[in-house]
Amino acid sequence: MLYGYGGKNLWIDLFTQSYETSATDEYMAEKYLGGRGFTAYLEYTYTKPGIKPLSDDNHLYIASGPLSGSLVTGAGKVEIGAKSTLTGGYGDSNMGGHIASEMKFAGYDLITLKGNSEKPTVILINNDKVTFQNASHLWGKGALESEALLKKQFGEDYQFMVIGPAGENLIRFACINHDFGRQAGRAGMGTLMGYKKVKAIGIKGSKGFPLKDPARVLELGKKMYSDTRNKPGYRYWTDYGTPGVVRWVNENTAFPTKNFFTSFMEGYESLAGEVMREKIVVTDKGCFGCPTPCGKYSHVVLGEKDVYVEGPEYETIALLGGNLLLKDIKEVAYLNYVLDDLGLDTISGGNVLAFAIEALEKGVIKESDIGRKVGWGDVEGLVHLSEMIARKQGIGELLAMGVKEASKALGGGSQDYAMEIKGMEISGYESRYAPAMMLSYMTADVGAHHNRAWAVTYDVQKGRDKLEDKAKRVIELQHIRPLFDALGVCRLQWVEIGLTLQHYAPLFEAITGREYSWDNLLKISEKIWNLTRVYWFREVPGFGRGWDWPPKRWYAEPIPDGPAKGQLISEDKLNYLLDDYYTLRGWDKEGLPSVDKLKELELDFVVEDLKKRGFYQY
Amino acid sequence: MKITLRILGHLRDVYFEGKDLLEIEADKPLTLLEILNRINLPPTMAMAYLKEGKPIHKETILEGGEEIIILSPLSGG
Repeated sequence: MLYGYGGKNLWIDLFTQSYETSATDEYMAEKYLGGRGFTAYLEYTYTKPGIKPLSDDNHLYIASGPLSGSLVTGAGKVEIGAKSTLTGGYGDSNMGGHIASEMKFAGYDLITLKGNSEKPTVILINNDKVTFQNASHLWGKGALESEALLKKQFGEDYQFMVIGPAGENLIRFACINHDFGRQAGRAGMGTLMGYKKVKAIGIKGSKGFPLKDPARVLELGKKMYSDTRNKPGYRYWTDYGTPGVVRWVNENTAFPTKNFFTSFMEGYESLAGEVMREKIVVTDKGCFGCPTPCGKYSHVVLGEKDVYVEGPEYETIALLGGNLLLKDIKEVAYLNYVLDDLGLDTISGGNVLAFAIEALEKGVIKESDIGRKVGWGDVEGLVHLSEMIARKQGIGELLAMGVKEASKALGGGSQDYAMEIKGMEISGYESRYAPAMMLSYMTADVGAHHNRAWAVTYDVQKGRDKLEDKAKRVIELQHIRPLFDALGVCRLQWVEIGLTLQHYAPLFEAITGREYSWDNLLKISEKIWNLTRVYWFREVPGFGRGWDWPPKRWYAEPIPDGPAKGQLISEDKLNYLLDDYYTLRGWDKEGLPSVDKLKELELDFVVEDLKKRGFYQY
Repeated sequence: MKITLRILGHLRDVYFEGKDLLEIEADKPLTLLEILNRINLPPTMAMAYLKEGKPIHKETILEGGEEIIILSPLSGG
């Protein structure tokens, strides 16, 4: 008996519109836990090497974790993985809501979409039964509208993952939407779903899943809930959610402003969590099993527009607010709504829009390419340009490739301000005066995403000029934070509310019956990290140190104004950080894990694979 | 008069040697900023300062008897 797991994997063949199931692999469960562990393992071992991201062979993996759907707080996290359509490297994206729990209740730890459908399709999973429904009537419709129509057509008790026009049109940073406001936003998972012509996946489950010691799970789970509610920070977190950090990020000059031109936005106060709560929030919204509903459901009236939207959360405020100089929270929320409905990731989307405005200012793009003037803080123009991107109209087709590919095509020096690493647009922290955060972005395994190691507080508290110990801290965080994505739970009760890590290991044992210490779990996380790293080497020709390098703006342009004026991390310092990081990880000068390190992590199959491919000479 | 400061999160270890409770004695009302100066905490370090669960500004005058929560920064999602 595999305790803590639904017990089955569902394999869907879209070519034949058929499916089969298999028992969840006990080896995978033991060695990779679930969630991100499963997506990493399967991308390396099951997806065919060397394929194009947009190809029939790129499988889309949807994985819950052993703690998903349980009484652990925040047990609603699902991982969606595939070779990234945005970067061409390892891809995954994590999403809250109710998919992970519903999968478990239907009996599944993993759902894999193989091949692609001829026509637009909705996959309906009702416990053991899977059907394929025509989605032609939804194709072209917004993600939010489509989800409402799907609920009406098939029933409120289905949990849906839906794409918008951006996914259908293969925009490389298309997201998957769920529950009217949760997104698997990064790495282009919605793009692959669109390539497969899957408009939506609905899941409904009514089974339980086995627990090793149900009484102990109940006891520890109740304690975890009451401990969470009794933490003094609980009320603040619940009231303001992630927007509560807007003020701190600005006061500490790490707020991406005007395409990361600078690090502080005059007038940021209007975007702060307290203002947002007062002006637009109508209620709080949480994921499955969450006592701290950080989602903020907002009502926005802007001219003739009258919409409801979940958000904006911090990253969206940073990338659509600061980075585009939108200073009215209503405008940020409205643009958030537009991007959600189009099915565009707001982080990449905010970057692409900012890149386009700067390129327009510098004459690399012309006003005639867009059909109208678009400038900083111009919400109408930004909505117009977002529509062009999602529908690949005019210059939108080029911008739809993301800033890395768009800047390569445009030239004119635009690569210097294409704010990406490994092809993924940078999320919400300006890092020219935050070396640990800079290193975190440089080495994140999907590209420049903050959730692997949110290290900016370490910089602020331990010294922003100091480089020593930064790599060590980044590595620690890169093992702790992604571990939550392998377990299928939210990390915010730990990082925000202050639950101790010791809350998790006993619950893991009571649920699964496996006795892992916290150190054992972190070792698994390190193994997953190394596996995603070697995936890049295998899949991306010429991959190495240069791929860990930030855009030129971040090492050649000092912060031009504000409290951090003049700050910059030089190339020498970046090299110091990378050398320290690689050494501590047991990687060579190009960032390739050593044979010894891989063997230490029980990744012998990787060693054999890479030897055959000429990576190791012995 | 006495003002109690409760420190949550990693600021406790970085600035207060692991202490999560500080008591400030004063002979007159003080602004929050004056209190922060007294305990050598740079005012931008915390994400929020809470009184009765609600955020207060650094200029807020504390009369004595209050408990102020100093909240370490949280990640942005």
